[in-house]
Amino acid sequence: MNGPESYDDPALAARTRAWMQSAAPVAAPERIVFSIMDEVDRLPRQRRLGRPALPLLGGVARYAALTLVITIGVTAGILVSRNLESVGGSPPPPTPTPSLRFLGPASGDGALLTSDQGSAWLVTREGQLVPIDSDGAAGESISLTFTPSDLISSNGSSGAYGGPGTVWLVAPDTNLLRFDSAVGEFVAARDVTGARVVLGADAAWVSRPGEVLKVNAGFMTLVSTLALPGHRAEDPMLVVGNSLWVADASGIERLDVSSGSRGTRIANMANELVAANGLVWAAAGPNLVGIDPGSGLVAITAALPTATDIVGMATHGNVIWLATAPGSRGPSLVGVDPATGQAISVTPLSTPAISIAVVGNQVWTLDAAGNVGRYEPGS
Amino acid sequence: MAARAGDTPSFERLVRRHIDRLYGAARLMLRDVDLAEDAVQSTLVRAWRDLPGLRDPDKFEPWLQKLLVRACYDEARRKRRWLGEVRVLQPVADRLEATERTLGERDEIGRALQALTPEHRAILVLHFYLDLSPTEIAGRLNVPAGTARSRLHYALGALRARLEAQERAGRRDAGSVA
Repeated sequence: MNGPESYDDPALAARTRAWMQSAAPVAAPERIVFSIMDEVDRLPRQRRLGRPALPLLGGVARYAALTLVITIGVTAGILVSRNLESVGGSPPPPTPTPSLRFLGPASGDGALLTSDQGSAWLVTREGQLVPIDSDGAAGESISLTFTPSDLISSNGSSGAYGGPGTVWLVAPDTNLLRFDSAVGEFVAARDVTGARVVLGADAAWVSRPGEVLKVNAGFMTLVSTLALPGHRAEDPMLVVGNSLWVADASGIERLDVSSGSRGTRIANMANELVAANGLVWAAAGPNLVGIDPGSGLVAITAALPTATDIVGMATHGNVIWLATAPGSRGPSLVGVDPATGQAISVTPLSTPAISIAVVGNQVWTLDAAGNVGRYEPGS
Repeated sequence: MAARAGDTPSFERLVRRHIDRLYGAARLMLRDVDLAEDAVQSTLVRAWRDLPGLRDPDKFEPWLQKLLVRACYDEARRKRRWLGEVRVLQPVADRLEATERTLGERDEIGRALQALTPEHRAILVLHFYLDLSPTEIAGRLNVPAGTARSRLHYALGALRARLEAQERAGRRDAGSVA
């Protein structure tokens, strides 16, 4: 090194240096040398060009060749994409509405869907975990050897949840997994199986029949088990601040995440829970209930204009989006103002959604046939 | 340098002289044995192929380090494509038991490092393991010295943030009820 370097945190710098010097292996395996020399024996050497003018000519030739390759590639890409559009394998868009505009499909093979800041993660029915960007373009997929029952992303939250690009998968017969797409690695939490997973208070919370497991999100170790008689594995959960909200067939309960102590039970049933505008929102049949997390009292109760059961709920804070069951008016996406609980838009859907996600400023729907649709607010 | 002229025994001697440090750096950057081996192998094979083009033999080691960083970036990117099957790691606690260590500072740094981007890990490894100054790192990464210094600053900041998050999570769990 050329001289002493100054750091904001000299102790951390010293600690990092000491760790690296001790953690690195002292010697490379001999087999790498053998492999390298085997390949070296087979590999032709790069030719050197003797005259000074030739490297320049070589560079120009390489530039021309590269330009030609790019041109051919772009042209082929345009032709291929035109042909794909003409095949028309994607589902037809639903009837346009003034509230949400159908942008296009993102997949026809979805089983589970969750948002991750401006993109989404999908588990397909073929058992692939696929990142999808807001334009509906799928990234590199990963084959799963099990069938997850729920997935959730860190949604941009840093710290213990692993940061952007981290997704969590849970299944009744496989240990809870955290997939960090930045390093392409899965980490499992031993003895943690369940049906649903939520993140909050530096922990992952896994729902099982009669109990909820708290898992240290950084270490991936089981921290504690909260006994909840009557709780079903598929019942919704939500963490807001230091409270874990869980719903079961008879109502909604609030638990302190540190002590596990219980607050007052709220009699409303819920099949979905989200937090928006300082309230915990519960979907209770065709009604939306806003609960004050401080007092645990119901602050707002609103009936949906569709008068059909809510089957999916998601929010980015400014609008709560609901997917409703078909009923007599057909399935729809309903936008609700979290300040009042009143519906501000209703968009008919061609097929009923089984879950929805907010991806950037878009609302994505997943239907029972596996179709993922993308909708954007605006006329 | 005989290796430049195509003398394979000379090149093997060069490989043996440099491979341990390259492998150590790759292991720290990639945090994966197989990927590190692949990165080192592709670095040295490429070095053999391109060695005749190296004008200054004294710059062989910096040149190798530059090739290694590129190879590690490539491996980090390819890693996702290679995951045809879910490769489940042992839980962190198991790995610690296996090495008869407790949740001490040694593994906190390792886990925190693993959560950083490949670019942040690379700059920390170049500086703290290979002992390169920001100016030297700039040469390896083809960036200005100021950029290298700034990246080092941000990489350390990201490491600190990650360590603090782990510490917070540990404290909360210590106060939880079972």
